[in-house]
Amino acid sequence: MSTVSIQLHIKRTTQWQDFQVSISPDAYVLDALEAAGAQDESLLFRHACHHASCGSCGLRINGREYLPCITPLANFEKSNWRLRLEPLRNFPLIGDLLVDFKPFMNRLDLIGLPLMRSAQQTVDHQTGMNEIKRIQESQDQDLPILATGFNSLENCIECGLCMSACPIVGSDPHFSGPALLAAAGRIAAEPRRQPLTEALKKVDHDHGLWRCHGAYECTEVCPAGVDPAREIMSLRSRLLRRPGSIREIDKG
Amino acid sequence: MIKQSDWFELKYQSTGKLAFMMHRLSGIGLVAYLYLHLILLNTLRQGPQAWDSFLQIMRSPIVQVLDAVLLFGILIHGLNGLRLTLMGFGAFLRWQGAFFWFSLILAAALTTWGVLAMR
Repeated sequence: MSTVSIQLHIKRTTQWQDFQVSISPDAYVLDALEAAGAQDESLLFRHACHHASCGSCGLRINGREYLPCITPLANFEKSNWRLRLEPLRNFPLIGDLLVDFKPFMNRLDLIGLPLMRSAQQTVDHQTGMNEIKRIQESQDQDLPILATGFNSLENCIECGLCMSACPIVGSDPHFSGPALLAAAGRIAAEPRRQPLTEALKKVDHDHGLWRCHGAYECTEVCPAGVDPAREIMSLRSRLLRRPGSIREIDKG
Repeated sequence: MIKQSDWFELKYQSTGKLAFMMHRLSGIGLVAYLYLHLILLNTLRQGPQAWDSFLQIMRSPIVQVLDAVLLFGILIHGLNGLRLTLMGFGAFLRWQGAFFWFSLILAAALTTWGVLAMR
């Protein structure tokens, strides 16, 4: 099996460190990073699923946000197999390539889960048995016939690449950020008779929906094909077309 | 604390980011120009001679190049502002990148026309 020599220039907590890794050119960046981790076990980075499902391994590679688990090393042949790895921007740094996702997850929790279940597992306190209950039959009937409009938003894996790429998150730490705004748009697209006002109030403010400058970096870097920028603009348009207040939306 | 990142970087990824950077740079430039303009207008208070000598400076080639930069800055800021406004109303979302390139070409064409007209 042929191998190539990859040079990884990795941002450690206080300095840069070079690693030389011999690996198949068909491998992915995460494979090379794991090989570097085997050379120095103190190297901090996060990963789990290896197939862009968990969204935990996001990094900046040669100045751009990627999920290394699905980024082929072959993409960097033109840069002579030299990769500069940095942690995501706009997140508190834990160390090396590891950032703290807690503030980001807290923001997403604030808006509520964009994915709504039609059934949930509960415990029957009398029997102690698990049972699956349908939440409400009427909610299922509210499912839109046309499901194409928000399909892409279902694909968000909460990897945080959009938060790192967004220049407004970089300038305004209070900005809600593309992921949260897209989640609000998702709720607006399929409310299932849930009150929208509470969700929209959390994004209808100076550091929310109206702070986006339409740089579209979030859409550009999203590994799941979500288009947060377009969703933000659509939600903005929806609010602008409803004169009065966001309370009107619930009536609609 | 969340580390602040630079909003300006040459290694941008989308047309929208280029538009954002040019919008912000031109905006900062226009605010600076506004104050400069008010300061220079103050020359009027110093009498006709002072004003005439100021106009001589304004006719120098360097200032005329700066005039062209100013015109381009006004045009790109205004046209991109129109793009952002329309996007806020949900229009041209699919073609927002093309809209910016069109704005850029239009701003360059109008600046060229303006420079030729000033000669």
